[in-house]
Amino acid sequence: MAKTILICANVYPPNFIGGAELIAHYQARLLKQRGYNVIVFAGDSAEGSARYSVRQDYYDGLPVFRVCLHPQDYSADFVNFSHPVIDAHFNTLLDAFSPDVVHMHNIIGLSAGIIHAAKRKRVKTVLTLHDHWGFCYKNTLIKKNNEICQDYSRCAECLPFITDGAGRNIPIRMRRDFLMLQLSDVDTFISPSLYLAGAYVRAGIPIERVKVIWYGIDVAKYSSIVKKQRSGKVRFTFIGRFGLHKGINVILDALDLIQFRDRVEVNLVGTGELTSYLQQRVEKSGMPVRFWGMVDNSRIEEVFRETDVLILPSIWPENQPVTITEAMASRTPVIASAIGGIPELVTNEYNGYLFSPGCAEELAEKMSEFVIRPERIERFGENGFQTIKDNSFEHQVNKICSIYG
Amino acid sequence: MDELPRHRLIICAGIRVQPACAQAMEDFQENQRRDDCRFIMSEWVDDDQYNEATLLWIVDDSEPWEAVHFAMRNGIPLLIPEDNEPMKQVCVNAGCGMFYRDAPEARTSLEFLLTNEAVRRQLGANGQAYLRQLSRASVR
Repeated sequence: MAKTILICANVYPPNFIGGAELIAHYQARLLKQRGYNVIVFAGDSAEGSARYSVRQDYYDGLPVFRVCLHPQDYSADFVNFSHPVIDAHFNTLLDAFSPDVVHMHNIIGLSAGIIHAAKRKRVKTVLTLHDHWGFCYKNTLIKKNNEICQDYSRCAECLPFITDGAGRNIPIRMRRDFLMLQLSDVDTFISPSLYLAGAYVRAGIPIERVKVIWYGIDVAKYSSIVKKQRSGKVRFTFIGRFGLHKGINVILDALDLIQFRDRVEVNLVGTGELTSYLQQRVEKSGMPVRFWGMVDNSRIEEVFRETDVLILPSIWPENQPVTITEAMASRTPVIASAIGGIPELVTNEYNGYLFSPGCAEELAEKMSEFVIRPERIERFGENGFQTIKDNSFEHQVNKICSIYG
Repeated sequence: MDELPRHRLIICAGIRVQPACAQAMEDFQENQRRDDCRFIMSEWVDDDQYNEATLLWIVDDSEPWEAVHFAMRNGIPLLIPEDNEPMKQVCVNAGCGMFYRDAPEARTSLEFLLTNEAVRRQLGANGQAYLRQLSRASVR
């Protein structure tokens, strides 16, 4: 009999889509194609319903049970990790579908109590790690002074208290204590990068329970993208949230410094809290920047068609950025910060360049390399493809299925 | 399946966390120079997790009877602020826990209960015995 897999995520398409949500969905879809019974339990950021009410719909043929979450539930300074009402909904699903495996992704905002709920019913629990939510309330590890946190027990230095629905001030250490208790009920952690696996082990997760499995990528889709011919300028592209943690401002700083400004174009794809700031700065300085706005992932090929080099200037230790794997699959070289799991993908002077996080001078220098030596665009792009080509979704799901048993 | 390192679970109950308790938690972590305790609100955990608790800490002047009953029934000792008179009376009558005046005393009490297993067990047993006694009395 086919196994039943219950996939859990705090957001699920077609709602806000980031890399983690895409990965969760593609994995669920492929499992279904392979004959598994797949059910999704997800947070729902759509407005207009009663908080924590549940509705069911279908997305891409998958039944999705969506719990209505309010903005506060996604807020980092709120007790957004324990919701007994959501645990109760989850228990109802467990009883109704008797899953063989509960596979969780990001569950902050939903409820970490679902881990123990599954464990109590002796269901195998698998959790894919996407960022640092298990031990950092901000997910990013970025401290107030933009340094990266090294001591995960000192959350109070950033935020001494969080609040809950009853208006209580809860010491922040209780967040970590609770999450570590819940995480002790996870049978297998999947980490896409060695970096993130190591971070969770440092936080207290036993190394024996962690498997490193790279994110899959639709290699066929991205490798078939035909680039539009360059018109003498090298087209650099950033894709992602316009937030400080993504270091997007560093791109404009680099544009201020670059020698060959008339030979570059920059595409900024996305939106976020820095949008107005970036637009004003570009307008004022006349930088060669095009704002694309939000581009749905189903249309992301259009962006890569007009991209020669992807730039990811993050100042937070990212896990395994999906934009990088997409770029590699589309034979696009990458310039990225040497931080977190990025150096596991990007090899300096092989499939791109690495630079020190936040360093505009270095970024300008690496951008210039592609302007001076444009033949490297194709060569590094091909090397990137060789790096990622065997890492299809099928490959990823094969490995995940071996964990399900 | 390999076991995670055992952590002592300290269940906290109350409608707010008094500053003295928050301070004691912080001091405790600094002073112990180790990270083998987990402080968790009572309503965040299921009964089977609660049952594993080392102690129940009332963190304000409220009267969380449900959490207290559960603790006493399951042999879990109490730690109570001295100005929480109703809870203190339970603690005194049953001999099932300790009470404290301020953050330093709370921290010291925590350390004492965590390092004196025999005392901790005895206090828990006293709570269970007291509940049994009450139950017998109410049956009569």
